[in-house]
Amino acid sequence: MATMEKNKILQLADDFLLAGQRLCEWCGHGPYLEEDLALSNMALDLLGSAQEIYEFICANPNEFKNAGIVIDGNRPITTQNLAYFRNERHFFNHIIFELPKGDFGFTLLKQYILALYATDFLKNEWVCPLSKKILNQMAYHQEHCEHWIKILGLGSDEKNKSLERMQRSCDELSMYLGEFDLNSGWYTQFSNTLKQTHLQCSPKKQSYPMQHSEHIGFMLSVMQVVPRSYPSSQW
Amino acid sequence: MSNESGELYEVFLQLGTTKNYEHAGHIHAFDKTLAMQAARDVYARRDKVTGIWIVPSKEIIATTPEQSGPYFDPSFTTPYRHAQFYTIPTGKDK
Repeated sequence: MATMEKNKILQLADDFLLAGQRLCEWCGHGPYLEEDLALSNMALDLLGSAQEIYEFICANPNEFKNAGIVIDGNRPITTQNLAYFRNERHFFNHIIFELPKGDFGFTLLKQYILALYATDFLKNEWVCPLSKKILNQMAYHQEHCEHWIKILGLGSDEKNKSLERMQRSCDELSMYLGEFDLNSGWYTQFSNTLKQTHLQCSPKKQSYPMQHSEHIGFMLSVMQVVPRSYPSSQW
Repeated sequence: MSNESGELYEVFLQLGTTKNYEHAGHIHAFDKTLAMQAARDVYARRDKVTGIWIVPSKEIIATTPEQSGPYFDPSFTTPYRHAQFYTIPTGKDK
């Protein structure tokens, strides 16, 4: 496999890890009990998927030699170290998944994008032994988010202004969608879902002058503070 | 029972493709799709579940405690109604 593709596998794992971390921030803050459980379940799925891909990377170190893995302090390449001992410059996630959790609609749109992108990637670009399990999880996330997006996207502006808020979320996310290949099948599916609502989303393919947004630093400092404070701790 | 968190549904789980559906609890949801997803998220994440049934609670017709006398008394005080004095050959039911 070419170096480019290796980077994309690591990128997918980083996407899962950071999106899962953001989704965990909803624990206890969901709109109602069952939805709180749904979001927590999805977060656990994402963290599990990230872990499986990291384990795959650690089990095949020669293939990922040039993928740009840099772990602080020259620690060995293990799953734990990949998650907790890399800094911002060595995470390769798409910028969109490190954005703050936002409101419920914002989270669901981001989650939907990840589910569609991951499904497309695992079906077309990197078919591996892990795919079936992750694809099942992504299918459920997709179903759940799509349903909510259609409910909120067809909402009226009168009572809770759900449509206005969803549109604002779409506008903000479209600033970061340019990092993806907008001609791919998953984006067509995303647009088709939005066409069934009143939402508009028109991103442009663009290159970004920065590797990350300002948000990843804060997120990593929360995520990594415990292992970095007590580096020899075991659990 | 419609309120801020939606309608009430009773959830039944099937733990194995040949088993009966057993009552697991209830959830609140706003529509049928969300109800099925909520049932799965709340009840079906631990054991090996092969199927879920959900029923709107208001569709369930149940006996009340006051009815237990007229409805259920006769069955165990009148043994002459039952064929329990015959031995049933083993075979179908276990």
